[in-house]
Amino acid sequence: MAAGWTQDRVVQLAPDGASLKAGQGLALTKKWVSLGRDELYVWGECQGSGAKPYQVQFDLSESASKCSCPSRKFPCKHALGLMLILTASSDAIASQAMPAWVAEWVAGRIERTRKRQEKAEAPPKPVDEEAQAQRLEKRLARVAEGLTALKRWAEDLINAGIATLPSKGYAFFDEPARRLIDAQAPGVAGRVQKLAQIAGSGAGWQHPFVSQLASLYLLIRAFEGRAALPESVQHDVMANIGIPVKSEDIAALPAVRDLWQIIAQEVDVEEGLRVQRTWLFGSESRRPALVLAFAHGAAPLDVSLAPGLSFEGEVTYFPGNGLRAAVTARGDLKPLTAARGLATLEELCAFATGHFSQEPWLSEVVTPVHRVIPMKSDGGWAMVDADRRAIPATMNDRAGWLSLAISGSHPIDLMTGYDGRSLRPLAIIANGEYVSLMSGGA
Amino acid sequence: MLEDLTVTAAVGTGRKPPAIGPISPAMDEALGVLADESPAGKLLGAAAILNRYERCGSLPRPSNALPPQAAEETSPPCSRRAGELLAQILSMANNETRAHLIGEWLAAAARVSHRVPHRFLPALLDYGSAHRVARAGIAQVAGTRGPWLMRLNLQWQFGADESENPASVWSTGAREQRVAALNRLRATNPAAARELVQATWKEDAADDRSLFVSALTIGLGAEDEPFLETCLDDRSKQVRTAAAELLARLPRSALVGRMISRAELLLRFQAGKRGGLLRKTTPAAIDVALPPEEFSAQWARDGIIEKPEGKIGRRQWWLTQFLAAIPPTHWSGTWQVSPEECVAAVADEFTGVVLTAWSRAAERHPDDAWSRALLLAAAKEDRGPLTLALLNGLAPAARQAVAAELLESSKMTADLLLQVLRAGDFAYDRHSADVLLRQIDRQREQQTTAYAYLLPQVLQGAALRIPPEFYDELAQRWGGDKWEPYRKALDEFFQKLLLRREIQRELA
Repeated sequence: MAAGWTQDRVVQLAPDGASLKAGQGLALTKKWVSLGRDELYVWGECQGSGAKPYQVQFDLSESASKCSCPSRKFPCKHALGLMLILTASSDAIASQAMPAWVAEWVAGRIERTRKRQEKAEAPPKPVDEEAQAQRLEKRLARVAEGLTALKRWAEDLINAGIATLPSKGYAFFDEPARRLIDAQAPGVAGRVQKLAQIAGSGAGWQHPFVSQLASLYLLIRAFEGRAALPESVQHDVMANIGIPVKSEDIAALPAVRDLWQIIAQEVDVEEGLRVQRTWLFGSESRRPALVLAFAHGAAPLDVSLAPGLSFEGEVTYFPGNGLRAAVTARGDLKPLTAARGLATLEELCAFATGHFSQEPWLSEVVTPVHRVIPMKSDGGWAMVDADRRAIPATMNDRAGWLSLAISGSHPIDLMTGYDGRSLRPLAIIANGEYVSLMSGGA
Repeated sequence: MLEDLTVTAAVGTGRKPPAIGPISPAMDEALGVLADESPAGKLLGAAAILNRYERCGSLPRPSNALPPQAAEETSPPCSRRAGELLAQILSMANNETRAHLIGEWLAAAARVSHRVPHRFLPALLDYGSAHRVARAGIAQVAGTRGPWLMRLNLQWQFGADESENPASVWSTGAREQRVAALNRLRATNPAAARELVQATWKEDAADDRSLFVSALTIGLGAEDEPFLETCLDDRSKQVRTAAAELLARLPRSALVGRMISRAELLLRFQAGKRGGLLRKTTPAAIDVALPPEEFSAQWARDGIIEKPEGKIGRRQWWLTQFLAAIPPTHWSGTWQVSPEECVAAVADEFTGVVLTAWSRAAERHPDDAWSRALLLAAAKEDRGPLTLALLNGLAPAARQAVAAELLESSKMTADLLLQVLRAGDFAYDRHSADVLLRQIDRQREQQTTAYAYLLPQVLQGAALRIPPEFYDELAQRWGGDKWEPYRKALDEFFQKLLLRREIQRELA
């Protein structure tokens, strides 16, 4: 099997269930006029309904594919079928020299990568720093205006009492959220929408609502008084408000070289925008990192970082105390057969405290924790560590029973989020095998 | 403290000013920065500080509630690929095809003593809780982890009630539970099960009693006869009918004996004569006479129904019922001729009546030679009804051979082909599969309208029954323009065949 590719990983690539089913239908060698592979690429010609077969090619290290079919799904069913054949058995596709049409595509990819690098290495274009500073000034003024209005809104809410909020519905929060988008503070708008969700979440909503509103209030006040804050906290305030960091600023920052474990990945859809969160953990540095990728509508997400793999490479953290980072250099992806992380749940608490006290708006840290045992405990789930200490775990029953089945009350390595109160289990490594606990994964 | 703030927030700081502190000197100092804030600002500020304090300070709690560890596995897990195949099958739509493929997977894994990898157990146990027939197969491949897991989840405890004491279920359970317990006990100890039924016979309602009698079908034997015979005099008609049905399946029962004495006078075999003056051959013949005009109370006691079901004369109807209880071997034995000769010798005007009755009799008293004779006469010569259920009563080798003979019949139609496929859910051997595939080719070439409509179903049935090694040969043979109208069905056929081939290879 090539470069850590398994059937599971191909299944996770599928954009939807229909594409996967169609791909499985094409995973028959007799549907293919030709099939071939080498170390880095796999290709094939699939007989469709037309006279000319579709030509599809797949880059194994970058998870990129191209097909001559007109589908706008990505990857298309032909690419999925091709990869399902490849991962079904080691001898299904024979190594051979690349045909011209594949070589052409590969040459194009190499050329594009080279141009990108050249562009990145080229001396930066002279920037009109003054104009840039002016633009930022203007934006911050609008943000300040929006936040002042929001502060008043929040105070009025608390003054009048929040008891009747659930009956007002989502609409009550739409207007302030929209105004914050106009004020160019998308991060804050998101937090207001989160408030709406909490208010609609049923019994016991008041406590988390007050917590969330208080956190938002803290952000507004921190923005107002930012001049007096340490520089790193100022960055955190800006990041949480949603002021983007310029990529040349990140390029200038020092990178952390490590063996990075890709411990979990999740994709959420937020108003037509797909947000992919990939959690990394440094084996030596013991630092968590969050890599975000975005895609509008049906546009493809960057799938080159798949959970359950690891790579030698460089990760550059965004300025501030947060966990957001970008992968700036990456070696070959290898299967992750053993996790390297924290030894006990107590260590996790201490570790999280360190991060939460540095970055007060951080919602959770995600890390591997060794040798924990999943357990069913009155109505819910929990994880117990080697010291017989437990933290409740928030997961659905599917994930709970799956973790119980894999563990059998024996210790396993857990990839989990922790928000200071409960765990959010994301994946397990047991007997050298990575198993995702998120729905969709097998 | 945070709870108090939440209560205040609910009411509104306009009505009730927030009360903050004292907590501890350090916290009070931290909260002191809020002194000049508005009431709402005080509340939100204090909530923010306390929240962070709480979040950073929490620690795991001691716990001693772990369930005992699952024992080490004693059998090896199946290959990674085999596990992926199982997951793929489990995610298919819930239909017969999926049930068949899961059954095949489970059987193949059990044959090589491989177990299901732990990660696939929850999905498989969910399947088992919804599909009773798969449970025995699941138990064989669940390793030690399966039973360990099942004990923890009520949904999966389908194994648990099966170990309960049947006698206690019998005395306290509801009707369905009692029937289930009876069925289980019949499979291991038929006499004890029958004694349970007899023990409460007088108290049980007629509806229940007829269900209990029918449950004796499992493990039915001559020892059951005395009890069943008494049931023929039961107050309830349902009970009498159920008992008569079971007695008709016991070849040496007194009821069958009575049927024989009633019918023996009515069928007369005349051997064929060869030679003679004109060197003409007279074929053997069975003369049929009808029962007397008057319906007898003794017949009714043996479960004979007086009023005909369907368009058939009263006396013919009674004859059918006599014959249907008698093992067909009685006739071939008495007359000393083969079943084929018996089938061929029935007088023309009575072939429908007698062969229908014999087919029913062969279902009750399976006999390879008789079943074969009846099936082939119907399929090849249109003599009598084609009772395909007889296929399932045949011994495996005979079943293969007879299925092949049926499929070779020149009278085979697309519709019949589908019926034969559906009649028996058994694996075809190389020879019968070969015949089946050639028949599919022949039907496709004839391109009847019915065939175009039925082909997808025929292919679906064939994909699950023929040996998967046929894949390579068929991938060469089936395809191209001739198959274009059926492309989708053909793709699905190959997909399933390939899946089965992979199951057999991965679990070899």
